[in-house]
Amino acid sequence: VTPADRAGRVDDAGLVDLARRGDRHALDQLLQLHFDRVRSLCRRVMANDADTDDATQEALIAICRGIVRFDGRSSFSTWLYRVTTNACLDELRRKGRRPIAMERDALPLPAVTAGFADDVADRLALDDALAQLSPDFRVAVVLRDVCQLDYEEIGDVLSIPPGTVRSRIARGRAHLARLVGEQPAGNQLTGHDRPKQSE
Amino acid sequence: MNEYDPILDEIVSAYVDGEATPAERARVESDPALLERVATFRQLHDAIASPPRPVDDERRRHLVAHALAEAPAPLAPVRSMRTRRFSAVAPIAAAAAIIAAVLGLGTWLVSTQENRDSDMATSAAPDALRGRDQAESDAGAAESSSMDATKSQGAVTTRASASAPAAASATPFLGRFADEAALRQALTERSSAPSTTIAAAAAGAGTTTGPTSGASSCGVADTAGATRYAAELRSRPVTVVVTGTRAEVIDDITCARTTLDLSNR
Repeated sequence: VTPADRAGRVDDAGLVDLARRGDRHALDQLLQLHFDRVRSLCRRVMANDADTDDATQEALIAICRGIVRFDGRSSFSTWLYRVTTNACLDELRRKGRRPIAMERDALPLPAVTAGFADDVADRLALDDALAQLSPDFRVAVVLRDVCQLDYEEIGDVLSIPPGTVRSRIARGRAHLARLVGEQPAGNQLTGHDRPKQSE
Repeated sequence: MNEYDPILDEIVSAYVDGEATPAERARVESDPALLERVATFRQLHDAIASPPRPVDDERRRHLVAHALAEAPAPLAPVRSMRTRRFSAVAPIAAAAAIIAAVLGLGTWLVSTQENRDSDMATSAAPDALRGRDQAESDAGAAESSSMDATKSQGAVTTRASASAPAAASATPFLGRFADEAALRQALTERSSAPSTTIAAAAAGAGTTTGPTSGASSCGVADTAGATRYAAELRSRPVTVVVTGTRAEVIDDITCARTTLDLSNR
Protein backbone atom coordinates (compact mmCIF):
# COMPACT_ATOMS: atom_id res chain seq x y z
CA VAL A 1 0.00 0.00 0.00
CA THR A 2 1.54 3.25 -1.10
CA PRO A 3 1.31 6.48 0.86
CA ALA A 4 -0.96 7.75 -1.88
CA ASP A 5 -3.23 4.79 -1.27
CA ARG A 6 -3.28 5.52 2.44
CA ALA A 7 -4.07 9.16 1.77
CA GLY A 8 -6.75 8.02 -0.61
CA ARG A 9 -8.28 5.82 2.06
CA VAL A 10 -8.45 8.75 4.43
CA ASP A 11 -10.19 10.80 1.77
CA ASP A 12 -12.40 7.83 1.01
CA ALA A 13 -13.84 7.84 4.50
CA GLY A 14 -15.44 11.24 4.11
CA LEU A 15 -16.66 10.60 0.59
CA VAL A 16 -17.99 7.18 1.47
CA ASP A 17 -19.89 8.60 4.41
CA LEU A 18 -21.43 11.29 2.25
CA ALA A 19 -22.20 8.85 -0.55
CA ARG A 20 -23.91 6.49 1.88
CA ARG A 21 -26.07 9.40 3.03
CA GLY A 22 -27.17 10.09 -0.50
CA ASP A 23 -24.67 12.66 -1.68
CA ARG A 24 -24.54 11.99 -5.39
CA HIS A 25 -21.62 14.33 -5.91
CA ALA A 26 -19.57 12.40 -3.36
CA LEU A 27 -20.47 9.16 -5.09
CA ASP A 28 -19.41 10.64 -8.40
CA GLN A 29 -16.09 11.63 -6.86
CA LEU A 30 -15.59 8.15 -5.43
CA LEU A 31 -16.17 6.59 -8.82
CA GLN A 32 -13.78 9.01 -10.46
CA LEU A 33 -11.13 8.37 -7.82
CA HIS A 34 -11.31 4.60 -8.12
CA PHE A 35 -12.15 4.28 -11.78
CA ASP A 36 -8.64 3.27 -12.84
CA ARG A 37 -8.36 0.66 -10.12
CA VAL A 38 -11.68 -0.85 -11.02
CA ARG A 39 -10.90 -0.89 -14.71
CA SER A 40 -7.42 -2.35 -14.25
CA LEU A 41 -8.81 -5.19 -12.19
CA CYS A 42 -11.54 -5.79 -14.71
CA ARG A 43 -9.07 -5.69 -17.58
CA ARG A 44 -6.93 -8.47 -16.18
CA VAL A 45 -9.76 -10.63 -14.95
CA MET A 46 -11.73 -10.33 -18.18
CA ALA A 47 -8.51 -10.68 -20.17
CA ASN A 48 -9.74 -8.72 -23.16
CA ASP A 49 -10.62 -5.15 -24.02
CA ALA A 50 -14.06 -5.95 -25.37
CA ASP A 51 -15.37 -7.34 -22.13
CA THR A 52 -13.49 -4.94 -19.90
CA ASP A 53 -15.88 -2.05 -20.39
CA ASP A 54 -18.88 -4.25 -19.73
CA ALA A 55 -17.37 -5.58 -16.52
CA THR A 56 -16.27 -2.10 -15.48
CA GLN A 57 -19.76 -0.80 -16.08
CA GLU A 58 -21.32 -3.58 -14.03
CA ALA A 59 -18.82 -3.03 -11.24
CA LEU A 60 -19.51 0.71 -11.11
CA ILE A 61 -23.24 0.08 -11.04
CA ALA A 62 -22.81 -2.46 -8.26
CA ILE A 63 -20.82 0.09 -6.29
CA CYS A 64 -23.52 2.73 -6.74
CA ARG A 65 -26.26 0.35 -5.71
CA GLY A 66 -24.35 -1.20 -2.83
CA ILE A 67 -22.73 1.82 -1.24
CA VAL A 68 -25.65 2.27 1.15
CA ARG A 69 -25.03 -1.23 2.47
CA PHE A 70 -21.31 -0.69 3.03
CA ASP A 71 -21.04 -1.00 6.80
CA GLY A 72 -17.38 -0.08 7.25
CA ARG A 73 -16.40 -3.42 8.76
CA SER A 74 -13.79 -3.75 6.04
CA SER A 75 -11.91 -0.93 4.38
CA PHE A 76 -13.63 0.72 1.48
CA SER A 77 -10.93 -0.48 -0.92
CA THR A 78 -11.45 -4.07 0.21
CA TRP A 79 -15.17 -3.70 -0.34
CA LEU A 80 -14.56 -2.03 -3.70
CA TYR A 81 -12.33 -4.87 -4.88
CA ARG A 82 -14.81 -7.44 -3.65
CA VAL A 83 -17.66 -5.82 -5.52
CA THR A 84 -15.55 -5.45 -8.65
CA THR A 85 -14.31 -9.02 -8.49
CA ASN A 86 -17.83 -10.33 -8.13
CA ALA A 87 -18.97 -8.18 -11.04
CA CYS A 88 -16.21 -9.62 -13.18
CA LEU A 89 -17.01 -13.20 -12.20
CA ASP A 90 -20.69 -12.58 -12.93
CA GLU A 91 -19.75 -11.14 -16.28
CA LEU A 92 -17.55 -14.14 -17.04
CA ARG A 93 -20.38 -16.49 -16.19
CA ARG A 94 -22.85 -14.47 -18.18
CA LYS A 95 -20.66 -14.57 -21.23
CA GLY A 96 -19.95 -18.24 -20.80
CA ARG A 97 -16.26 -17.75 -20.94
CA ARG A 98 -15.33 -19.32 -17.71
CA PRO A 99 -12.39 -21.61 -18.32
CA ILE A 100 -12.26 -25.15 -17.03
CA ALA A 101 -10.59 -25.33 -13.65
CA MET A 102 -6.97 -26.20 -13.76
CA GLU A 103 -6.21 -29.86 -13.21
CA ARG A 104 -2.86 -30.21 -11.57
CA ASP A 105 -2.19 -33.71 -12.74
CA ALA A 106 -2.99 -32.85 -16.31
CA LEU A 107 -0.53 -30.00 -16.46
CA PRO A 108 2.56 -30.47 -18.53
CA LEU A 109 5.83 -29.95 -16.80
CA PRO A 110 7.00 -26.39 -17.06
CA ALA A 111 9.65 -25.85 -19.64
CA VAL A 112 11.51 -22.88 -18.37
CA THR A 113 14.58 -22.18 -20.40
CA ALA A 114 17.25 -19.57 -20.33
CA GLY A 115 15.34 -17.66 -22.94
CA PHE A 116 12.16 -17.49 -20.92
CA ALA A 117 12.45 -13.77 -20.38
CA ASP A 118 12.66 -13.19 -24.09
CA ASP A 119 9.69 -15.43 -24.60
CA VAL A 120 7.74 -13.34 -22.11
CA ALA A 121 8.90 -10.13 -23.69
CA ASP A 122 8.41 -11.15 -27.26
CA ARG A 123 5.72 -13.80 -27.37
CA LEU A 124 3.66 -13.53 -24.26
CA ALA A 125 0.04 -13.27 -25.02
CA LEU A 126 -0.79 -12.48 -21.48
CA ASP A 127 -4.48 -12.22 -22.11
CA ASP A 128 -4.66 -15.64 -23.64
CA ALA A 129 -2.76 -17.15 -20.75
CA LEU A 130 -4.93 -15.41 -18.19
CA ALA A 131 -8.07 -16.41 -20.04
CA GLN A 132 -7.08 -20.05 -19.68
CA LEU A 133 -6.54 -19.74 -15.98
CA SER A 134 -9.29 -20.74 -13.60
CA PRO A 135 -11.03 -17.61 -12.28
CA ASP A 136 -10.19 -18.65 -8.71
CA PHE A 137 -6.48 -18.54 -9.48
CA ARG A 138 -6.76 -15.67 -11.91
CA VAL A 139 -8.49 -13.38 -9.45
CA ALA A 140 -5.99 -14.15 -6.71
CA VAL A 141 -3.06 -13.38 -8.99
CA VAL A 142 -4.64 -10.20 -10.34
CA LEU A 143 -5.57 -8.89 -6.89
CA ARG A 144 -1.96 -9.39 -5.88
CA ASP A 145 -0.21 -8.10 -8.99
CA VAL A 146 -2.63 -5.39 -10.13
CA CYS A 147 -4.15 -4.21 -6.86
CA GLN A 148 -1.01 -4.76 -4.77
CA LEU A 149 -3.00 -6.35 -1.96
CA ASP A 150 -1.24 -8.57 0.53
CA TYR A 151 -2.43 -12.10 1.19
CA GLU A 152 -4.55 -11.15 4.15
CA GLU A 153 -6.33 -8.41 2.21
CA ILE A 154 -6.93 -10.76 -0.70
CA GLY A 155 -8.33 -13.24 1.78
CA ASP A 156 -10.74 -10.54 2.99
CA VAL A 157 -11.83 -9.76 -0.54
CA LEU A 158 -12.36 -13.39 -1.50
CA SER A 159 -13.41 -14.59 1.96
CA ILE A 160 -10.73 -17.26 2.07
CA PRO A 161 -7.80 -17.83 4.45
CA PRO A 162 -4.44 -16.24 3.64
CA GLY A 163 -2.92 -19.71 3.27
CA THR A 164 -5.36 -20.48 0.49
CA VAL A 165 -4.53 -17.16 -1.13
CA ARG A 166 -0.84 -18.04 -1.08
CA SER A 167 -1.52 -21.42 -2.62
CA ARG A 168 -3.79 -20.07 -5.34
CA ILE A 169 -1.36 -17.37 -6.35
CA ALA A 170 1.53 -19.82 -6.54
CA ARG A 171 -0.44 -22.31 -8.60
CA GLY A 172 -1.79 -19.59 -10.83
CA ARG A 173 1.66 -18.24 -11.52
CA ALA A 174 3.05 -21.66 -12.16
CA HIS A 175 0.28 -22.32 -14.64
CA LEU A 176 0.76 -18.96 -16.32
CA ALA A 177 4.49 -19.61 -16.62
CA ARG A 178 3.74 -22.89 -18.32
CA LEU A 179 1.19 -21.33 -20.65
CA VAL A 180 3.48 -18.49 -21.56
CA GLY A 181 6.26 -20.95 -22.30
CA GLU A 182 3.92 -22.66 -24.75
CA GLN A 183 2.90 -19.50 -26.55
CA PRO A 184 3.63 -19.65 -30.28
CA ALA A 185 5.98 -17.08 -31.70
CA GLY A 186 4.42 -13.94 -33.10
CA ASN A 187 2.18 -13.09 -30.16
CA GLN A 188 3.84 -9.83 -29.42
CA LEU A 189 3.20 -7.95 -26.25
CA THR A 190 1.66 -4.56 -26.65
CA GLY A 191 3.50 -1.59 -25.29
CA HIS A 192 1.21 -1.44 -22.26
CA ASP A 193 1.45 -5.11 -21.53
CA ARG A 194 5.19 -5.33 -21.92
CA PRO A 195 6.72 -6.07 -18.52
CA LYS A 196 9.21 -3.68 -17.04
CA GLN A 197 12.83 -4.63 -17.51
CA SER A 198 14.07 -2.87 -14.41
CA GLU A 199 13.86 -5.97 -12.23
CA MET B 1 14.14 -25.98 -11.13
CA ASN B 2 12.57 -27.54 -14.14
CA GLU B 3 10.06 -29.76 -12.38
CA TYR B 4 6.68 -28.58 -11.24
CA ASP B 5 6.85 -28.54 -7.48
CA PRO B 6 3.81 -26.91 -5.89
CA ILE B 7 5.50 -26.59 -2.54
CA LEU B 8 8.60 -24.91 -3.92
CA ASP B 9 6.51 -22.73 -6.24
CA GLU B 10 4.52 -21.59 -3.26
CA ILE B 11 7.70 -20.61 -1.44
CA VAL B 12 9.03 -18.83 -4.51
CA SER B 13 5.72 -17.04 -5.10
CA ALA B 14 5.60 -15.90 -1.47
CA TYR B 15 9.19 -14.74 -1.81
CA VAL B 16 8.26 -12.61 -4.83
CA ASP B 17 5.38 -11.11 -2.90
CA GLY B 18 7.41 -10.45 0.24
CA GLU B 19 5.25 -12.91 2.18
CA ALA B 20 7.87 -15.61 2.76
CA THR B 21 9.14 -16.46 6.22
CA PRO B 22 12.79 -15.82 7.05
CA ALA B 23 13.51 -19.53 6.68
CA GLU B 24 11.82 -19.61 3.30
CA ARG B 25 13.74 -16.57 2.17
CA ALA B 26 16.99 -18.16 3.22
CA ARG B 27 16.15 -21.29 1.33
CA VAL B 28 15.26 -19.44 -1.86
CA GLU B 29 18.31 -17.26 -1.75
CA SER B 30 20.57 -20.26 -1.31
CA ASP B 31 19.19 -22.13 -4.31
CA PRO B 32 20.01 -20.84 -7.83
CA ALA B 33 17.20 -22.86 -9.35
CA LEU B 34 14.71 -21.23 -7.05
CA LEU B 35 16.15 -17.81 -7.83
CA GLU B 36 15.63 -18.57 -11.50
CA ARG B 37 12.02 -19.35 -10.72
CA VAL B 38 11.80 -16.09 -8.80
CA ALA B 39 12.86 -14.24 -11.95
CA THR B 40 10.19 -15.98 -13.98
CA PHE B 41 7.44 -15.12 -11.51
CA ARG B 42 8.63 -11.53 -11.28
CA GLN B 43 8.36 -11.11 -14.99
CA LEU B 44 4.86 -12.47 -14.90
CA HIS B 45 4.05 -10.17 -12.03
CA ASP B 46 5.35 -7.15 -13.90
CA ALA B 47 3.48 -8.07 -17.05
CA ILE B 48 0.20 -8.45 -15.20
CA ALA B 49 0.74 -5.32 -13.13
CA SER B 50 1.41 -3.18 -16.16
CA PRO B 51 -1.44 -0.70 -16.61
CA PRO B 52 -3.94 -1.42 -19.32
CA ARG B 53 -4.46 0.81 -22.29
CA PRO B 54 -6.02 3.98 -20.83
CA VAL B 55 -9.64 4.64 -21.57
CA ASP B 56 -10.48 7.91 -23.24
CA ASP B 57 -12.17 10.57 -21.15
CA GLU B 58 -15.42 10.42 -23.05
CA ARG B 59 -15.76 6.70 -22.42
CA ARG B 60 -14.82 7.17 -18.80
CA ARG B 61 -17.47 9.86 -18.30
CA HIS B 62 -20.05 7.70 -20.00
CA LEU B 63 -19.34 4.70 -17.79
CA VAL B 64 -19.48 6.75 -14.60
CA ALA B 65 -22.58 8.66 -15.65
CA HIS B 66 -24.38 5.46 -16.58
CA ALA B 67 -23.49 3.90 -13.24
CA LEU B 68 -24.77 6.95 -11.37
CA ALA B 69 -27.96 6.80 -13.39
CA GLU B 70 -28.42 3.20 -12.29
CA ALA B 71 -28.02 4.10 -8.65
CA PRO B 72 -31.18 4.07 -6.56
CA ALA B 73 -32.55 7.46 -7.48
CA PRO B 74 -32.48 9.68 -5.73
CA LEU B 75 -30.15 8.42 -3.06
CA ALA B 76 -32.11 9.40 -0.01
CA PRO B 77 -30.30 11.13 2.82
CA VAL B 78 -30.84 9.58 6.22
CA ARG B 79 -32.84 12.60 7.33
CA SER B 80 -35.10 12.35 4.32
CA MET B 81 -35.74 8.71 5.03
CA ARG B 82 -36.71 9.58 8.55
CA THR B 83 -38.97 12.29 7.24
CA ARG B 84 -40.62 9.87 4.87
CA ARG B 85 -41.05 7.37 7.64
CA PHE B 86 -42.55 10.06 9.85
CA SER B 87 -44.88 11.11 7.06
CA ALA B 88 -46.15 7.59 6.78
CA VAL B 89 -46.64 7.19 10.50
CA ALA B 90 -47.92 10.66 11.33
CA PRO B 91 -51.56 10.17 10.23
CA ILE B 92 -51.78 6.91 12.15
CA ALA B 93 -50.26 8.53 15.22
CA ALA B 94 -52.63 11.47 14.96
CA ALA B 95 -55.64 9.18 14.70
CA ALA B 96 -54.42 7.16 17.65
CA ALA B 97 -53.93 10.32 19.67
CA ILE B 98 -57.46 11.51 18.90
CA ILE B 99 -58.95 8.16 19.86
CA ALA B 100 -56.91 8.11 23.04
CA ALA B 101 -58.04 11.64 23.87
CA VAL B 102 -61.71 10.77 23.32
CA LEU B 103 -61.41 7.62 25.38
CA GLY B 104 -59.53 9.49 28.08
CA LEU B 105 -62.15 12.24 28.18
CA GLY B 106 -64.93 9.68 28.35
CA THR B 107 -63.21 7.79 31.09
CA TRP B 108 -62.65 11.00 33.02
CA LEU B 109 -66.27 12.03 32.71
CA VAL B 110 -67.52 8.64 33.83
CA SER B 111 -65.03 8.65 36.68
CA THR B 112 -66.08 12.15 37.68
CA GLN B 113 -69.74 11.18 37.69
CA GLU B 114 -69.01 8.09 39.74
CA ASN B 115 -67.01 10.12 42.21
CA ARG B 116 -69.85 12.61 42.43
CA ASP B 117 -72.33 9.85 43.15
CA SER B 118 -69.90 8.38 45.62
CA ASP B 119 -69.47 11.73 47.33
CA MET B 120 -73.21 12.17 47.52
CA ALA B 121 -73.64 8.74 49.00
CA THR B 122 -70.88 9.49 51.46
CA SER B 123 -72.45 12.78 52.42
CA ALA B 124 -75.75 11.08 52.99
CA ALA B 125 -74.24 8.33 55.08
CA PRO B 126 -74.15 10.22 58.38
CA ASP B 127 -77.80 10.97 58.02
CA ALA B 128 -78.50 7.36 57.36
CA LEU B 129 -76.40 6.34 60.31
CA ARG B 130 -78.28 8.73 62.45
CA GLY B 131 -81.44 7.14 61.21
CA ARG B 132 -80.16 3.71 62.10
CA ASP B 133 -79.56 4.91 65.63
CA GLN B 134 -83.31 5.29 65.96
CA ALA B 135 -84.66 2.54 63.85
CA GLU B 136 -82.72 0.48 61.40
CA SER B 137 -85.71 -0.04 59.20
CA ASP B 138 -86.22 3.69 58.86
CA ALA B 139 -82.61 4.32 58.06
CA GLY B 140 -82.91 2.82 54.59
CA ALA B 141 -85.84 4.98 53.77
CA ALA B 142 -84.10 8.06 55.11
CA GLU B 143 -80.95 7.29 53.12
CA SER B 144 -82.74 6.79 49.85
CA SER B 145 -84.86 9.84 50.43
CA SER B 146 -81.89 11.97 51.24
CA MET B 147 -80.08 10.80 48.10
CA ASP B 148 -83.06 11.57 45.92
CA ALA B 149 -83.45 14.95 47.47
CA THR B 150 -79.76 15.67 47.10
CA LYS B 151 -79.78 14.80 43.42
CA SER B 152 -82.71 17.07 42.84
CA GLN B 153 -80.96 19.98 44.49
CA GLY B 154 -77.60 19.67 42.83
CA ALA B 155 -74.31 17.91 43.05
CA VAL B 156 -72.85 20.03 45.81
CA THR B 157 -75.79 19.81 48.10
CA THR B 158 -74.74 19.91 51.73
CA ARG B 159 -75.73 17.45 54.36
CA ALA B 160 -77.98 20.09 55.82
CA SER B 161 -80.06 20.54 52.72
CA ALA B 162 -80.17 16.83 52.21
CA SER B 163 -81.40 16.08 55.66
CA ALA B 164 -84.30 18.51 55.64
CA PRO B 165 -86.48 16.65 53.16
CA ALA B 166 -85.49 13.46 54.93
CA ALA B 167 -86.98 14.76 58.07
CA ALA B 168 -89.98 15.88 56.11
CA SER B 169 -90.70 12.35 55.11
CA ALA B 170 -91.58 11.63 58.74
CA THR B 171 -92.32 15.11 60.02
CA PRO B 172 -94.36 17.88 58.42
CA PHE B 173 -92.07 20.25 56.60
CA LEU B 174 -92.86 23.73 57.71
CA GLY B 175 -90.91 25.59 55.09
CA ARG B 176 -87.75 27.62 54.58
CA PHE B 177 -87.28 30.70 56.64
CA ALA B 178 -84.85 33.56 56.58
CA ASP B 179 -84.99 34.19 60.31
CA GLU B 180 -86.69 33.26 63.56
CA ALA B 181 -89.44 35.88 63.14
CA ALA B 182 -90.57 34.31 59.90
CA LEU B 183 -90.48 30.91 61.49
CA ARG B 184 -92.50 32.11 64.43
CA GLN B 185 -95.03 33.68 62.02
CA ALA B 186 -95.42 30.39 60.25
CA LEU B 187 -95.86 28.55 63.46
CA THR B 188 -98.49 31.09 64.50
CA GLU B 189 -100.40 30.68 61.23
CA ARG B 190 -100.18 26.93 61.57
CA SER B 191 -101.54 26.91 65.11
CA SER B 192 -105.01 26.10 63.94
CA ALA B 193 -103.91 23.59 61.29
CA PRO B 194 -103.59 19.92 62.10
CA SER B 195 -100.18 18.85 62.95
CA THR B 196 -98.34 15.68 63.49
CA THR B 197 -97.78 15.13 67.11
CA ILE B 198 -95.25 12.77 68.40
CA ALA B 199 -97.96 10.80 70.04
CA ALA B 200 -99.93 10.58 66.83
CA ALA B 201 -96.82 9.52 64.92
CA ALA B 202 -96.10 6.92 67.51
CA ALA B 203 -99.57 5.56 67.09
CA GLY B 204 -99.26 5.44 63.30
CA ALA B 205 -97.67 3.04 60.92
CA GLY B 206 -94.51 1.35 61.85
CA THR B 207 -92.47 3.25 59.37
CA THR B 208 -93.30 6.55 61.04
CA THR B 209 -93.07 5.58 64.65
CA GLY B 210 -90.33 8.02 65.31
CA PRO B 211 -88.82 11.13 63.90
CA THR B 212 -86.12 10.61 61.29
CA SER B 213 -84.88 14.12 61.22
CA GLY B 214 -81.33 14.94 62.06
CA ALA B 215 -82.47 16.29 65.38
CA SER B 216 -83.04 12.77 66.58
CA SER B 217 -79.36 12.54 67.31
CA CYS B 218 -79.54 15.80 69.24
CA GLY B 219 -81.50 14.24 72.00
CA VAL B 220 -84.93 15.70 71.18
CA ALA B 221 -87.26 14.50 73.85
CA ASP B 222 -90.34 12.70 72.68
CA THR B 223 -92.64 14.62 74.91
CA ALA B 224 -96.28 13.65 74.73
CA GLY B 225 -98.47 16.37 73.22
CA ALA B 226 -95.56 18.09 71.52
CA THR B 227 -95.74 18.87 67.83
CA ARG B 228 -92.71 18.31 65.68
CA TYR B 229 -91.94 20.10 62.45
CA ALA B 230 -89.09 20.04 60.05
CA ALA B 231 -87.95 23.29 58.56
CA GLU B 232 -85.04 25.21 57.10
CA LEU B 233 -83.85 28.23 58.99
CA ARG B 234 -81.21 30.31 57.21
CA SER B 235 -80.71 27.40 54.87
CA ARG B 236 -79.94 25.04 57.74
CA PRO B 237 -82.14 22.09 58.58
CA VAL B 238 -83.85 22.40 61.85
CA THR B 239 -86.36 20.51 63.84
CA VAL B 240 -89.05 22.51 65.56
CA VAL B 241 -90.79 21.04 68.52
CA VAL B 242 -93.80 22.97 69.66
CA THR B 243 -95.05 22.42 73.16
CA GLY B 244 -97.90 24.70 74.14
CA THR B 245 -96.78 28.26 73.57
CA ARG B 246 -93.17 27.31 73.38
CA ALA B 247 -91.23 26.19 70.30
CA GLU B 248 -87.80 24.77 70.47
CA VAL B 249 -85.74 25.10 67.28
CA ILE B 250 -82.97 22.55 67.09
CA ASP B 251 -80.21 22.81 64.50
CA ASP B 252 -80.02 19.33 63.03
CA ILE B 253 -76.29 19.59 62.44
CA THR B 254 -74.95 21.45 65.42
CA CYS B 255 -77.77 20.55 67.77
CA ALA B 256 -77.88 24.21 68.78
CA ARG B 257 -81.18 25.01 70.36
CA THR B 258 -83.23 28.18 70.25
CA THR B 259 -86.48 28.70 72.09
CA LEU B 260 -89.22 30.77 70.56
CA ASP B 261 -92.04 32.14 72.61
CA LEU B 262 -95.32 31.73 70.80
CA SER B 263 -97.44 33.18 73.52
CA ASN B 264 -97.98 36.40 71.62
CA ARG B 265 -99.54 34.71 68.70
